[in-house]
Amino acid sequence: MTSISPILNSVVDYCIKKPTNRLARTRLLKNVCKSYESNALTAIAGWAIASVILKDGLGCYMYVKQSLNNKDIPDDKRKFVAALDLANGGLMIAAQILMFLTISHPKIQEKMFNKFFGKYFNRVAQKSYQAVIKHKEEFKNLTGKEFNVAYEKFHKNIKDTFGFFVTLMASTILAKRVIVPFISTPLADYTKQFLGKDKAEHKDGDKFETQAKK
Amino acid sequence: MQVSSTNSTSSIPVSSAGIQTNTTASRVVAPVVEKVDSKKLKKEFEGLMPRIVKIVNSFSKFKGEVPSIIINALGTGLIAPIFIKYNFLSKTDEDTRTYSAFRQPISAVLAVITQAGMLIPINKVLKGMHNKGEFTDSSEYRYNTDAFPDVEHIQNELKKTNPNTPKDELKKLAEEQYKRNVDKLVQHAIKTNSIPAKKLTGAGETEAISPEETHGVLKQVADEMLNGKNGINETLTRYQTEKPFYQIRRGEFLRENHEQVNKFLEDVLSDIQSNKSHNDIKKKINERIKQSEKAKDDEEFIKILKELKDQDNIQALKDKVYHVKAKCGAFSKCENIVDVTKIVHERIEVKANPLRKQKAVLERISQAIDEKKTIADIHDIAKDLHENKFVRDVIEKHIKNINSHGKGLNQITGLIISLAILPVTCTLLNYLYPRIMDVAFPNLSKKKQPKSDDYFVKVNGTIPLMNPEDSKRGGKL
Repeated sequence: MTSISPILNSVVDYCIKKPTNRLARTRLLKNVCKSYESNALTAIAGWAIASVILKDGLGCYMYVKQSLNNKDIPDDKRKFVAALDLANGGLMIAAQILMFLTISHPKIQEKMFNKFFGKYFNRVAQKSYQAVIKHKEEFKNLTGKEFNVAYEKFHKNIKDTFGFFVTLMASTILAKRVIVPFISTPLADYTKQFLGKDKAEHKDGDKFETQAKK
Repeated sequence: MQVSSTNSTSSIPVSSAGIQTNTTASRVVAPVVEKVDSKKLKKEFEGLMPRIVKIVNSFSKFKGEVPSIIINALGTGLIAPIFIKYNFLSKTDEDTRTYSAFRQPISAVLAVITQAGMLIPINKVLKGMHNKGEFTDSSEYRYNTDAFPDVEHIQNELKKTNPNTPKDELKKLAEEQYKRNVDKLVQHAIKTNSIPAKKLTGAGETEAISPEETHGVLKQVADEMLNGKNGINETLTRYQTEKPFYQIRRGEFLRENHEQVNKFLEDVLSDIQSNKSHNDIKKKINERIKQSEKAKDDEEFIKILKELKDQDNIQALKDKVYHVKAKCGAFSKCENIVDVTKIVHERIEVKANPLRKQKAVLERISQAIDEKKTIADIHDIAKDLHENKFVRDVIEKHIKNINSHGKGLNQITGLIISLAILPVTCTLLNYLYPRIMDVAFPNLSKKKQPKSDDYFVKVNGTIPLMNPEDSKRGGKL
């Protein structure tokens, strides 16, 4: 029996490793890396937005096209399914861009964190934690620098967790799964009109033909 | 790419950029030894923090790619359909909306399957490429982290050899090993005047990044320390502008109102000494804030009250009270604002002077970098800094740069992988969705076998004829 591992290794090598290596040396990657290295937030947000537009834009086009041509979906519902895909896709791109520029933006997150948790991490609070900890026997020799390093690490962890969940809740749940479907469903009544004449309404004969063939 | 060795000084090359080679191989850096048990300290912080911070901290375990995929899928599968099916704004009939709504959970399941089945394994391969140094790095595009494995990678490697060791223990070991690795790299950089590009071998030999790159990182670090956010220049500017302004305002207030402030501080102190609870004292201070705000007392006094209120525990409050009392004492002796200004400036000078010395050292370092001096020479100059960890900062900056390149690469590869997976997900959804609906909700998909007298009329049992209603509308077979 031949082992699957060498075949898998070749697949990984030719389909992932080699193309990635080639991609890694392109001018595009040089520009992306530069933005990440200098932590240019606007440029990073720009790359992320461009990714969303490309990914969701293409996804929306494919979903709509396939739904419209999917004969397995009942005639009377096919167009609404496609219209909903179209409305959903468009709104999803808009919602994600809006979120990138607002709630998911590092600067806004910083402001939100300071609003909700700032008083627990300001200079006064930091000094008060330091005072308590320094009074404990085991941390008697703790230097200011050591305290600050550990404190900043703890602070960063709380800030990252806050940012992660705020983005997840606001963007992934509230915007993408509540607001977008809520608006896209009535909007689909209108996007339906962009998708051409409805066979079910205007070509009853064709509709029946389809039913009969089945 | 140059080749260097930590063991031999004779093989150290003269760089094309003109960076001088080091002849004092004996100059070594003392490793940074962590004296504090960071885990214990973290627990102390957790204990001191208010409930809301503790809750957020407990969620920190659930950060990451997998929880993100799960929450996203749950949102798509369970929440979105509700807002489609029960949407009172839509004019489309409920059956159609319900039929469309079920597309969401099916799409969520498919998303999890494709992401778990393709995206995660591909991301793992890419991470492996970074860790094993499988990228063909150039000076402009550097992605390999094999010379600088991160804590997570070390932890995974340790897990292979110590499968029964608890996770916390492994993390601690990995963190220690990471620090040792950085120590080694710092010593290597000082001895060989280069930053490694590949993993150090047992003999300490490895390929190094180009002298131009080394020069670039040295310059970046010196610039950031001098001119970056919270850098020395920014802090010194603050000492010349904001600090004196606020401190003179506070000093002048304390000079004029030291009796009033002292009286209140004594009150708080007696409460502390009579073992009143921190909450009770906080309430009392809060009431005083409200009173002062109503009476439109001096803003500075309200600020002092708020600072006292914000102390999170009794010990910190006590320290703060003594601190303000000491300031009261100092400023009460001043005759006028000129004396206050003098005291404030003297105090600021005490803090600013060491910073000015640091600035002078950093400027010498910058000059040495421009003159292409060796890392060892720069390390020697940096000994005059408050903490001699300049070379360590350089190594850490280089690691940070490589990691940020990795993030950039992942952004683009993530996009390409998603685009590649898209046709698969789309086709699968297109194929499965109507079929699942036919089986699970035949009423909605209208795939129920129509009764013969409702829709078709069979003649001689073989030829289907049109339903009379369709015939009226002009339909044909």
